[in-house]
Amino acid sequence: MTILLDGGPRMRRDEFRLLRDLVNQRSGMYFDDASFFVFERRLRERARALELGDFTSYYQYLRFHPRGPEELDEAIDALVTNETYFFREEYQLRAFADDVLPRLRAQAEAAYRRRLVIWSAGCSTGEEVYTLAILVLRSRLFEGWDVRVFGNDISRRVLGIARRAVYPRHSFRAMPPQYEEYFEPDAGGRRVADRVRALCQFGHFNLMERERAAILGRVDAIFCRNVLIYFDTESRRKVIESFYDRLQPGGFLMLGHSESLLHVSTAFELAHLATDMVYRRPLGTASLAPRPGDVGDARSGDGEGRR
Amino acid sequence: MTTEDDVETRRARALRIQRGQEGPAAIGALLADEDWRVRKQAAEAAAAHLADDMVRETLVLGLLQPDDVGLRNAAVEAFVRAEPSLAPVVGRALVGALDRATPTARKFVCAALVGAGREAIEPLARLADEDDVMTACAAVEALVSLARRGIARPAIGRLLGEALARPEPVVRLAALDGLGAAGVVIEADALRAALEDPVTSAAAIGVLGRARGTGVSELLLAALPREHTTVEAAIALVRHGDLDGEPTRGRTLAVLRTLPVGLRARLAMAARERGADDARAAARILLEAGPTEDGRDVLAAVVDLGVRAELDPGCRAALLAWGQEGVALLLELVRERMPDDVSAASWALEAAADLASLCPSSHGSAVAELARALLAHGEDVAAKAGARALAHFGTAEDATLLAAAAQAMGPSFESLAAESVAAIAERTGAAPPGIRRARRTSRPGLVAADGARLRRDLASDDPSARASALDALGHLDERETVELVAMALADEDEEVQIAALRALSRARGADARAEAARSARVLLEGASSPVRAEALHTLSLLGGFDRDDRSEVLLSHLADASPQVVIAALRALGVSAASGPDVEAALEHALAHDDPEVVKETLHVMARRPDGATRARIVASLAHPHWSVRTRAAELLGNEVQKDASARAALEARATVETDELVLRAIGAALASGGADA
Repeated sequence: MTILLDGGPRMRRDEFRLLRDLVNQRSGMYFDDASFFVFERRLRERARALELGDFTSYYQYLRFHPRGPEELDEAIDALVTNETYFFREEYQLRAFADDVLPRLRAQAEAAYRRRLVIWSAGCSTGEEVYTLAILVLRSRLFEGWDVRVFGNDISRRVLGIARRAVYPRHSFRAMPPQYEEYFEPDAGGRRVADRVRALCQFGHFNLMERERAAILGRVDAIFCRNVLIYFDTESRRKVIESFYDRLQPGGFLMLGHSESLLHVSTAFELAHLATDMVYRRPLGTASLAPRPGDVGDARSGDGEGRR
Repeated sequence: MTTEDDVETRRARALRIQRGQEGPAAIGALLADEDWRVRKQAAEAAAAHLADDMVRETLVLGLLQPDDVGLRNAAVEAFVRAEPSLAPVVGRALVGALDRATPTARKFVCAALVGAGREAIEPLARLADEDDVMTACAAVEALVSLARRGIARPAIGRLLGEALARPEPVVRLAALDGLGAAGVVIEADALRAALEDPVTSAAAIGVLGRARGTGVSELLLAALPREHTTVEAAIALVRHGDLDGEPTRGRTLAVLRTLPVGLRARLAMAARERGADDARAAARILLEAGPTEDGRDVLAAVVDLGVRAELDPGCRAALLAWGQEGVALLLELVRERMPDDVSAASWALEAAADLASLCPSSHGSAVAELARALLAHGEDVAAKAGARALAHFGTAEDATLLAAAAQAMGPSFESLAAESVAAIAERTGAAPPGIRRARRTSRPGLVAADGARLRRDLASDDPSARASALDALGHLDERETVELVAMALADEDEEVQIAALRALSRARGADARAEAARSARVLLEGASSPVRAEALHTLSLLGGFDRDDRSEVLLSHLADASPQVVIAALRALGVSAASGPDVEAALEHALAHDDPEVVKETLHVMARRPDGATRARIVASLAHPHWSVRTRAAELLGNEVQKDASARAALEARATVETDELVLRAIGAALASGGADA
């Protein structure tokens, strides 16, 4: 299927609805009726790659085939226009580096903890993960600490790109020149330096899978920028609740500039930084009782034992 | 206990009440809880207990009290979630509450009345007529909510039309917003006053696109060149279908071509910024006008829209009409957007390649050059765009580039690269380089079966290579070749097994087909469900179920635990000669399956066996719980309406109670296929 020429099966409205509902069940993302042509064009390619002649067969493949869930993740990746690059929304990153990181250091020290964990939720091709790691390194506030920057995504394809850590020129279009030292030349563009990569890890799971997120333990900051816009209201609430669970008391939640928690959650408080406003899990809240499968508490070193 | 633990405890209590594990006595306190999560759960619990007088009265009091906003919202939510069976009870409770309600509280009673369904229409009609403007607006909004649910749209359309006659602009705007959002169709005359009022004219134009009656086109055309209504009029013209047929199409295009640059710029902005449907309408208007002096800006907006939301058929057809000039402008945009906006550059290149392939074009080499640049970019979307463009204009050397790129980029790119390579080979006559891991996209017969080569390929340690070798085979004419392919059925890799089954389905000649069927039958037992499903399909193609003694094999698979296998068995049954009481019993069983996909497939099989009993079952499926089954049943009955009055009667009866929009559309189409007014 090409952009202007009809070269493959047409999608029926009932097929669109079935596929859309399946995507919603799997990922929490909701696509309105206007997304019909996006579904038709982008999923047609996937159906053809699987040699399926119509969208009903593709839908049944997603539902019944052992590789259906994997294919569904790739279909979702194809549907979402997820463009990212290094130092995207730089003003917010500056606020993070100048304001948030010092606060996180102070909070961790007060709890006798020398560990910093940052979660890039829905990390796509990984530029945000490496950007955050670079900011932590450059701050020099956490030398000798256990620092981890973790990125998750639903698409194996983008995670593969993230792990390769080699990026073409357009990924650097917003990067200030003072960060050049964190990259090395590569045939495919530029490669992220090893000392940055050493701080970073990637994982494959869906933001709706709250239990899987427990693998991270407690984190100090979460970046989830321009991801939740695809979610329906109920799914957005569930994801935000999951974020609240994962954050240390006093931990920060950074959303995209057009996103807010209005009508979603009153559990977070607004934190006024010098150049930005962000959300924070209130400092006063004690840790949650561990949930089954939650391995974080034992590693958090925050001095609070299991109940 | 911590604060979070308290919240969780209270929320869990509300959930127990909802599930009937605890009585509803505590519901009032939970509805007034300080935490929104508890209130939300309590609203769901209250909705489950609306038959209880105490619960209803608690909710009504919550609606009427003036201080607690959270409690009031929770009460509204509980009523709105009412089960349809409780609509009369809910309606009575809320109408009774009106006597006690302050003007402020009446607004919330209006919102809650949505839960009363059709019972709410009459009281809301009265409320929409009240002198208090806020109450009237709330009533209008509630009516719109009902229409959105598919309830009594014609009646609500009339009521909204009456609200348009109110003197207060805020009520008229609420009615106009409702007419647009609820998809209610009204007469154009009802909009004339709103069109003349500067406060409401833009909103009225938006509704006019869906209006009936004479003079709609005139009104829209008149609004098109006016600065504050250009965008709404353009969108409405597309919605009204004025670009799809005569006689106004010519006049519309004439107006479009004379629009000042400033107004076209507004339309381009709308194509970039509005929601997808409106954006496509704006883009189509711009494209229909054809290349103008600002054609590059128009196409830039179209490219941005394409990346964001793709084009609909109307936009695509309009862009195709731009011909060579469109190609040149799109190629300029590719150069401009590279390398920073890869998505836009890729989209523009593909569009240019499509356009250039249809018109005698001198741009082929330019397309190919940019395609190579995108292929080399490395980004997945760019490489795919490059590959697709090279399919049209690539050379034999480009085929080699694509094969190399396929190696580097992995599975998601391979099949596309293979298609492009095959297209280049067909056009140039040059032998295509192999793409080792790509799946077959060639047509049967492209590769003759070569025993020695096949043995070598099937000995590869790469399962994708083994599967590709099988996929590339054409027809199998010799029994010996069939036997060689059949040995691949024992491969440890499932994809290879499936490729072998597909290859066997291409056996020709009695001997070869018999051997292929015998081999395929082995995989009906013990293999995974995808393999068994493929085996059933292969046997069906080979005529493996044509004999009565084979039908028991099919019947046993109709009762399989895997829906995928059941569906494959149903499809095989549909083309077989199997019949008899056992087959009918098996179909009955499948019709009661949990999975809607199985039920739909069963209906298809039944529809090919037209008799009174099966028709009755298809009719009964019009009431199936899952909307997609009801849709399919309607479509199948639509094939019968011309010759069977009972099919028509069943569809018409269902239309009076159906609430799902897609099902209603299917019923309407089914009736229309029989010549009825749908």
